Amino acid sequence: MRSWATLLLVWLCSSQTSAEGTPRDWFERMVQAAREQNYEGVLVYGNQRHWDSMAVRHAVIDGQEYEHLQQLTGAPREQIRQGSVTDCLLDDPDRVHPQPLQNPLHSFLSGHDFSAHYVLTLGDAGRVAGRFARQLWLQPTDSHRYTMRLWVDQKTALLLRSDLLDERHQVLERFQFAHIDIGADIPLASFVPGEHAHRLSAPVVHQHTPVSWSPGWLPPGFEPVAATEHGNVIRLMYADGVAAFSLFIDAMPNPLSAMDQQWGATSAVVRVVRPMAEQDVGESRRVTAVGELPAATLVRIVQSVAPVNTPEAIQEP
Amino acid sequence: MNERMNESLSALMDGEADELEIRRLLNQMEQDDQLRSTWQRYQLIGAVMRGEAASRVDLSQGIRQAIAGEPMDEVPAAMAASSAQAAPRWRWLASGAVAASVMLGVVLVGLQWQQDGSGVAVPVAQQEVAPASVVQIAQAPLSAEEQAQLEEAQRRLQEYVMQHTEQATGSPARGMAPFARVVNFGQEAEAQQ
Repeated sequence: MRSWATLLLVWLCSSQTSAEGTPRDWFERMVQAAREQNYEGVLVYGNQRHWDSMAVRHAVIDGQEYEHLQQLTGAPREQIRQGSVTDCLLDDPDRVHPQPLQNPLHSFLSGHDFSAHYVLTLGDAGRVAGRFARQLWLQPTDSHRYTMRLWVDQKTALLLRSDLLDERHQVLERFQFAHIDIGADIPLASFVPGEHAHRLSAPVVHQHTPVSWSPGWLPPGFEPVAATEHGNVIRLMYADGVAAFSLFIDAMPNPLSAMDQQWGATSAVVRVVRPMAEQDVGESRRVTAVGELPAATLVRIVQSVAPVNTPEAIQEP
Repeated sequence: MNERMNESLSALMDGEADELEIRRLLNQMEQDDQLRSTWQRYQLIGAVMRGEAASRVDLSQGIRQAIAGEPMDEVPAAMAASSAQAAPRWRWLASGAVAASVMLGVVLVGLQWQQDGSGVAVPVAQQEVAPASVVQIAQAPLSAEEQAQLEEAQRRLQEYVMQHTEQATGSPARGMAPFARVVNFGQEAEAQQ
């Protein structure tokens, strides 16, 4: 009798799990929902020192993705995207290069295997913008990246809230819908840029060219996304599928450059790095690391930067 | 010293204490020798754990200055005053968080140890040139040349942070786009005027 009860309990538990889906299922559904669902809402985002809000409208019409993003605080900025073409309706006049606004729901890649460096788990239920949501945790397996706590709509798997947490689970950055309608029909007329809009240049194309200096140490799982060397500046970018950082190496060994800065989740570390005496490759370099990684990790990366042609000189610190 | 103070101290050390907490701690530190010595010990431990050199230097005065609005961390007072109207782009750096001041404070400690020649091992592959700016700002006014260097350094860092944000936003190979942060340098600076 008791064994039957146990069996029933096991069956109940397992059937519930399968009905709910694995954390990975939730994650994939979340990434797809951001691209496939119609939604319209207002979200707030920021860190402990600064908050902004943005109106987001997204629809799929005849298989084409449309998106309208409008910044509601600070300088007025407004953009409409149809597929991969972005039109700028309003932009900060002080801005030299208008940058595309980013829909924070499109922050994740579908099908990217990050299981070696992050563990996905389902958390508690909660409520965001009046909707029932499921928590999804993305926890790093080492100290080189941050934790993400995501609230995913119970019905549609749309991302409703996201917290970026440091190793002590303090919130570094958050975005959260204050209000959202999901699944409503949004007419094409809502995505007409109008005659005053100007088209933004095509999105950044990442190049890979040989460079003369590079880091000897990287946190595991980070792969090069871009590498260029123009004039005296080397620009490198690395990502692990969730977080990214950029490295800038220039020949301006300004002794007053060294500094550490942090804005929300973005850290910046600047050091002047000298090659070892026996490398004999001339002067020092200023190395700047900027990224959504703990500062201690950026420091370690910066300190490992060395001329490329002497790989044997690079040692683990 | 009570447990709560201890926690606040840890938070301050990690750059996570809020302003109220910092003020309370600093006030308490003036009266409480034990708290003061704990704070110094924490800094030493923190520096050692980060692989930095360290010595016993009291940094509370610098931190107090920083939260009192005196820009001791990156921008010398003279420059901050002269650039107040002319260059709003500096303010985002000038208004660096107290946390940043604390962090720089620790770097300053590291530098002094190295100057002492107290037998600190430098990293094997490269030697890091010490962040001289911090020391000079804390101890002496900058020369015109140094001010120009500091301006160059800050302008360049801002440019790089912008470039990172732009690249990351356009990159398919990353998750959380830094949408919330650096996009708003200007506004954040204005908000703090």
